[in-house]
Amino acid sequence: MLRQTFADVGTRAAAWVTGQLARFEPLAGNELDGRQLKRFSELAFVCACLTRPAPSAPGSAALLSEAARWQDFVRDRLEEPTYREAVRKTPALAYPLLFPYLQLRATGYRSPYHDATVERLASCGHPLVEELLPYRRFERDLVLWNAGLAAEPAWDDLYEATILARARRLSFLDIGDVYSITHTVFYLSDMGRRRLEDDARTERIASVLDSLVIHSWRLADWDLLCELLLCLRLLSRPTALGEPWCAAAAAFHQDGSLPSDRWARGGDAFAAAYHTTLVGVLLADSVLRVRDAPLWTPVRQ
Amino acid sequence: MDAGPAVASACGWLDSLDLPDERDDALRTIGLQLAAAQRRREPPRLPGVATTTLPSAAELVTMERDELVGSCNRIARSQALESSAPCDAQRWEAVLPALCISYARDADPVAVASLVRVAARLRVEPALLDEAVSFLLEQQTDDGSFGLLADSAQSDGSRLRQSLRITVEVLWALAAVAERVGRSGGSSCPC
Repeated sequence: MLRQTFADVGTRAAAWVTGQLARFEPLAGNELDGRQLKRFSELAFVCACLTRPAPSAPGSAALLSEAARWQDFVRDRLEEPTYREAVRKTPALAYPLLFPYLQLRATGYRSPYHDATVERLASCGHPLVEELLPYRRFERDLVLWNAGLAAEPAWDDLYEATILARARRLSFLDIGDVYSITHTVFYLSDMGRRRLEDDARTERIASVLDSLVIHSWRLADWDLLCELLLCLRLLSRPTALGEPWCAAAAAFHQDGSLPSDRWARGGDAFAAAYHTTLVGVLLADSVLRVRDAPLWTPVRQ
Repeated sequence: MDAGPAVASACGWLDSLDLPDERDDALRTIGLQLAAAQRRREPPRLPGVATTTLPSAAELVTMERDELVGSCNRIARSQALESSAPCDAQRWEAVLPALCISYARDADPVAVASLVRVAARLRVEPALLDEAVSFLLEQQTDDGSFGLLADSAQSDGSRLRQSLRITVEVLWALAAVAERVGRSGGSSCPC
C-alpha cells in the first residue's frame, strides 16, 4: 500500500522536476551564479543516483524515463562553450563546476573537453583540492572514484573524521550537523551501492538516524525527514514507526512538489520546493528499488 | 548516573528561599518532597488522577508543545492508563528517548522533564534515558536551582518563579527515574 503511494508521489515529483528544468540552468545568462550552479549540481547528482547500475532491483521505469530527460539536459549544458570555458577560467571553482560532469561520468558519459580540463588541473598540482569539511572530503573522494579518476576512498578513515562517527550526544546537534550526518550515510553507503560490513557500526548509525527521524517528523521538516528516511533505506534498515513514512508521503503536493519551508526565498515556490522534491524522488526510488527490506518494524500485538 | 549531588544542591536552594506567596511556598514544599523521594527511590507522591487516556506514540510526537506537557503530567500522575491503540513497549522505547532528545535540542527542560516522567511511568528502560537525564542535570546553576535563565528579560520575581517551576519539574523527573531504577522487573507497558 505505502509502496504504491510512493510509486505515485515519486512519479509525480519526477514529472514536476522535468516541468521545471528551465529553473535548473547552471548559468545566469553568461554569468556564474552560485545558487543556480548548486541546483544544477543537485539535479546531476540525483540523475546519477537513479541511473547508475546498482546491486538492487532496477529503479521504476517512470523514474528512469524522467531521469533520462534530466541527463540530456545536464549533458547539453555541460557542453555549452560558456560552461566548458568557465571551468578553465576559474580553476578555484573547478570542483563545484566539474561536480555535475563527474556525476555523469560515473554513469558512463565522457567529455574529452572536460577530461582534458581535469587532466590539466591534476598536472598543475590542483587535483580538485580544497580545504573541506570531513563529510565534504568524503563526497569528493567518492565522486572522483565513481567517475573513474581516483583510487577507492579510504572508507573507514573518511567516516571516522565525521560528526556521525564522533558525536555521542544527539541533543548537541544542530541542523547543519544533521545534514552532515545524512550526507555521510549517502557517501558511506555509496547511495545504497555499498554494503557496510561492520554490523555494530550499521546498528549504531541506524539508531542515530531513527532518533533524528522523530525530531524532523515532529517539526514537519520534510527535507530532513526525507533525507533521514532515505539514509535508513540505503542501509536497508527499518524505522521504529510507520507513521513518519505516512507523514512524508502525505506531504507531497498534488502537483508533485514537496516544499520545505526552510528553503523558501521571497515567495519563490520553486526555490522552496526543488531540493526537497529531488530528495523525495530519491526516497521513492529507494522504496521501490529495495523491495525485500521492510520500511518499518511492525507493531507487536 | 548519580543525580544525588544535584538533588542535594537543589534542596539547599529550595531551603534558602524566602517565599511570601503561598502557592510558591507550596511548590517549594513539593520540590523538597520530590527530592526526598528521589533519595529513597520511592514513587513521587503527587495529587493523582484516577484514569487517563494514553495517546498513541504518533500523537505524542505531533502534539503542540503545551498540550504535550499537559498530557505528560496527567499520564505521570494517573493511577491507571487507558489506551485505544495496541500498547507496545518497544514503540515507546523508540519514541520517548528520541522525543526527549528532540526537545533537548530545543533547550526545553520542562518538556524533557515531562517526557522523562512518562517514560518512567511506561517503564522504559532507564539506560535509554541517560541523555535526557544528562541534559536535565546540565540545566543546574551554581546556586542549585535548575533553569539556565541568565539571558531572560524577566523581572527578578518572575525569574525566581520560573526557576522554582523548572526545579520542581526536574526533581519530579529525577525522582521518577530513581524509582524506576530501584524497581526490579523488565519493561512492560502498564496499560
